[in-house]
Amino acid sequence: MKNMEFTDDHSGSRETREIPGAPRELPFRVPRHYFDDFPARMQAALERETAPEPAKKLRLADYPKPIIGLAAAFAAVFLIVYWPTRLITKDQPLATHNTHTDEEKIINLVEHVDDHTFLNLLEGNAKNESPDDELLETYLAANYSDLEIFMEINEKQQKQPK
Amino acid sequence: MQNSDQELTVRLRSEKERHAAFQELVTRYQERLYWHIRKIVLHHDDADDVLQNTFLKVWKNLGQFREESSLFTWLYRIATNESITFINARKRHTLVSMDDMSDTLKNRLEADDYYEGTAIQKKLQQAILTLPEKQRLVFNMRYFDEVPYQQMSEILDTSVGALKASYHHAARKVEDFLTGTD
Repeated sequence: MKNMEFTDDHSGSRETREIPGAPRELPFRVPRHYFDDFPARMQAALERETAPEPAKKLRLADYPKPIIGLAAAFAAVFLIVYWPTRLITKDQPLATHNTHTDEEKIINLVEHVDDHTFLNLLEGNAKNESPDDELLETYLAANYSDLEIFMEINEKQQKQPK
Repeated sequence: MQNSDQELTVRLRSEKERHAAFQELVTRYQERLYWHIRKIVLHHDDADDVLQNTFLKVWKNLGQFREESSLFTWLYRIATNESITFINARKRHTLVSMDDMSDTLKNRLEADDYYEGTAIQKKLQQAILTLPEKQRLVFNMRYFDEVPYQQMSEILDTSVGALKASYHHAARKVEDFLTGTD
């Protein structure tokens, strides 16, 4: 019954302190043919353990389960987060839906202003004063080609009664 | 045996031969592991369960065996851990302290159909049951199996010095119990 497979003891001794009157034989026994049968039982246990689990058949009732679960999750989030938040902020006025930003306001304003007025605004001359010739020339040079200016002047001259 | 253990280890690593090699491993080591487990859990049915669990664990962890220790030392360590896990699970299940656990084990031992022995053998088992868990383990391994301290150290992950001290204390307690001075 002893385990005889151990190697030499590196601690120098295999001696074991004797206890007077204490037998080294164990008072245990095993069922008949236990060790003959064990490998086969072990093999069966191993097969059970390693056998792939059969795929679970889905019933009709199983299909709506994920949807119900998702709906329940949304309901839970609503109850836990949205509803108490609404209760707390009930008395506070809702933020107005003012979608116009400052930038948009400026754009809207500028759209209705002609180039002449806009130039005056930039220069700080908010009144309807006519720009001096030099300024006008600069402005036209920056925004119109020579051809466009020539065509415009030509057109005006043709319209004027002779 | 060591050479054939190395050969067995190689075969256990081969996908083709793994099943056959494992069967050989079971046949080769079942008896030694069984007696080691039986000394810890005492009852035959429990030892049978733990032995099966041990081999299942060996099968699952074959890839983790790094040959830093001998195959048998590795098996012995798994068997020891499984036995201790079993005892602890029973303790939790029955919610008893270690002292009461000794009584539980004693009662289970006496109810075991596969327990028989002389009066002195029974008394020795009772004496062993009075020992703390670790001392009981060390005493069983040393007294009945004469496991070298170095190997015991690898199995139990405890220093040789601590094991020697543990065995010395255990042997003295058992002797005192048997001579009726405890």
